[in-house]
Amino acid sequence: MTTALLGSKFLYACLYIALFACVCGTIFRMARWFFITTGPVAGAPSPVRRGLAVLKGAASLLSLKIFGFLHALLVGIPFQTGILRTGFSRWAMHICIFWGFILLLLMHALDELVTKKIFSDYFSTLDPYQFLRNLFGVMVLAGVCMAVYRRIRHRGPMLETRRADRFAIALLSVIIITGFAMESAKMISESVFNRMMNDFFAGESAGDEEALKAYWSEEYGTSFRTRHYTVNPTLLARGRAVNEQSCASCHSPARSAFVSRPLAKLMRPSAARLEEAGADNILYYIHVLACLLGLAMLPFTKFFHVISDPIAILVSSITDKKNTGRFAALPRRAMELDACTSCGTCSRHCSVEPVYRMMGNRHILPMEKLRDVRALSAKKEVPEDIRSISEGAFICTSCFRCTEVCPAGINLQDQWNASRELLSEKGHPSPHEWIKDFRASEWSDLMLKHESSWKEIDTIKGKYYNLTDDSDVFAPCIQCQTCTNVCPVVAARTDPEEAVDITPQKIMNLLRLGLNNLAMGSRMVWDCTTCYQCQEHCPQGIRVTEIIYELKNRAYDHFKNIDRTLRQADVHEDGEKSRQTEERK
Amino acid sequence: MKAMKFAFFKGCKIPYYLEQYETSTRAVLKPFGVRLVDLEFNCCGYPNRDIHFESFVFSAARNLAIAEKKRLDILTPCKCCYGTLKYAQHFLKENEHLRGDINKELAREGLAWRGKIAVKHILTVLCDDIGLPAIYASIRSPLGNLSIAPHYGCHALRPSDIVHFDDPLAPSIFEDLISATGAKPVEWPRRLDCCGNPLWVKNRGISLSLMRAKITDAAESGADCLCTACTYCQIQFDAIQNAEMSEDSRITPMPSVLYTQLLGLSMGLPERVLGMKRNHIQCDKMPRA
Repeated sequence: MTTALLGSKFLYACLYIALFACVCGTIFRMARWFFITTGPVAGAPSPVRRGLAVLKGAASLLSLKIFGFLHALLVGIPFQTGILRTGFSRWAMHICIFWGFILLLLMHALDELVTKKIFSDYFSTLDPYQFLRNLFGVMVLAGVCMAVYRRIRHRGPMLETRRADRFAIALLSVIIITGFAMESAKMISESVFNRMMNDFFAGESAGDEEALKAYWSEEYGTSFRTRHYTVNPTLLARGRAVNEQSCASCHSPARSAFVSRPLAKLMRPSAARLEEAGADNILYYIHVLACLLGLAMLPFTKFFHVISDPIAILVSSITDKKNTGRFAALPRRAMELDACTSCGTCSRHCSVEPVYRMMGNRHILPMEKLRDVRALSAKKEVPEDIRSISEGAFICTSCFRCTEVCPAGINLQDQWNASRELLSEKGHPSPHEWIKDFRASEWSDLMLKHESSWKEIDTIKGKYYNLTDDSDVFAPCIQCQTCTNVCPVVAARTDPEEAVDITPQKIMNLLRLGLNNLAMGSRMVWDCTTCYQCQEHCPQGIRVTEIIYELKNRAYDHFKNIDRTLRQADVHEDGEKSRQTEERK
Repeated sequence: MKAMKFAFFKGCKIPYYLEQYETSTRAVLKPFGVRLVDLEFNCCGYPNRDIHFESFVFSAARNLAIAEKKRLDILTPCKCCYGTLKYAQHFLKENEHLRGDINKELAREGLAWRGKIAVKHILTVLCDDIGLPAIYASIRSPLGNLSIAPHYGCHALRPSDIVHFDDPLAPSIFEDLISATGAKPVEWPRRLDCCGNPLWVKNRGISLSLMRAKITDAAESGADCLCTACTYCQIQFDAIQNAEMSEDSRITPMPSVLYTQLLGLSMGLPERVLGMKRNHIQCDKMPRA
């Protein structure tokens, strides 16, 4: 088998190295699933507990869930229904590459191990194998072309092409193109013809060889440097007869090699040079080495999704989307990080995608969010853009749509829930939480101190509305306290700390005094339940709720870039100092 | 009756948190010849309004534009979605600068907001478009012995000059619709107050005390059950009450049903579509579907 399989000791050694790398790499990556912690670190279970939880989850197959599992296994994965749901062109692209490559692998690459065992008459140059090899190759190439087209046509944040994608596309192209080119180079090669003649041809009468050459030159495009014959119908007829006798049992007509034969025709003018360079041999080496490179790097490239995606799809077929087990969720989330191919389906269907378009924070998009989850789980140190990551993480309506559309069956919603817990743990919770880090007066002091962080923002204030700075809006306030009296939040305050906070009517007063900064961080503003009672009841027609909304918007803009790790005592001290200097001025 | 067709805006929470609202809405509208068309909408914009005004308006505008492209009015069963879409419509109408910028962004995907379509809440469609006489005529088993406290929900009702839902101080649409089912609408002082859900993840203490005040009031007013017509209000009174207040000795659990469930029950629709059993707190006096 050694020589038959690869024809070279060097390549044979490479095969073993590549296999070894692939197996070790795969084991390594799968083992990591039990060690990576996504979500809150505190109280994270040990790898053993995670493993046991996975086994317990697998045991649930002994129930009716088996039907869902079998459906995923026999329909979902082979027919890629998950991708079909996201669009036909994408499905066509993927199914071409998927089935084209798998069939090439089984029928052509592993012919010694698979095809010959099943079909005893297998011969690579016989039909239907010769035809099918061309067909499968064309499928993969067509798929690759569609992929390239899609990536150019839809390029942007929804379908970003990164190094991993380029590598995968390039490698697939190299494998297929060298495969075709090699077949063509062999067809036109005189030396290959002569070698075959020596090994298999026993000419019965003189002139048979010339006739055969003439016939092969016509039929297969073989290029002979010297010709001792003139082509005529009689010679060709004789050539055909000789071919029938000596070659046809192993060589189907060339037309079934519907890509390689035309390609051979194109290559024919430079046949002599290709012959000299040993093109068929070189192409063979590139072809095989590219395959082996793909194999060796499988666990560390995009190709790993051929292992991780089916696993993710099968896992999702037997698990509840909403109630993920506490322990089993960890290895599952880690596995899913490896299953994401960054196809962008989640981002395209995301409910808050329009928010991304207005706010411009990429971390709002699910595809980017998952990258953030990966970064947060891998690194001990806090990423520089943690505030943007946190902002994005908390802009999510938990609608499950990303989970629903993910062709790999990744439970993205669970990822977001976990990552929000982790971010809270790291001190970057939702705005409504971190706003509580300081009191209104402290925020106001911090604003003075960090003027530069929000000055720029202030230049765009009032782009559409300017309710909080325009005295016409709140000047009519007669301080009748109706807003405060109808406010359910004021009535519901039980915490003494909250009870002394300002009320809606006091907000109007602060605005009139030009002390907007003091209102922005107040509990009243951030605890507003947006019921519009104040606005509805205001006898002066002041848009109280909308003013509160605007204060929240401004507060968020102003505060989000302020470093909240400062100790509260420092804040106060600094605030006092800056106020004193202000006064002295 | 003329066949009615709406784009169905179910919002983000119904599919995974309140499926019964979708199934019961479809089921009660079907006999009246109302067709609901599913379009791929995005978030209404409400959750982001706290931190970023433009993204709220754009989210809503995109939904409106998607429906407008299909020339369909929007029907939503959620009062927060309803209010938000109405507010955005108001801002877009009122502010030319905003409208220009939003339309510029919408144009990138071939959409435009022209303000040609209406946004309707399910209660309005039932009461005005279908009409109370038709509702009365559809009742098969009137819910005679039930006292129901209608919870109005803030974002449909206020600010009245923007939403135009009903009289903001003395609304009656909900009581009228409950009367149609044969149940008795209960007069209760806090019927127009907030359920507390908007503060649920922001300030739990206040959120729960708002809800507690309402539940206590409804019980004191003699209600067997609350009735909501909003995704968030129902989640608050059902799932959250059940999870958070089952150990609170101060109050006895107050069940809450969706209006579409109540109506469906009186129309004799089956449990399969009404999903009464999906509600966390069951009302003992409620007849079985």
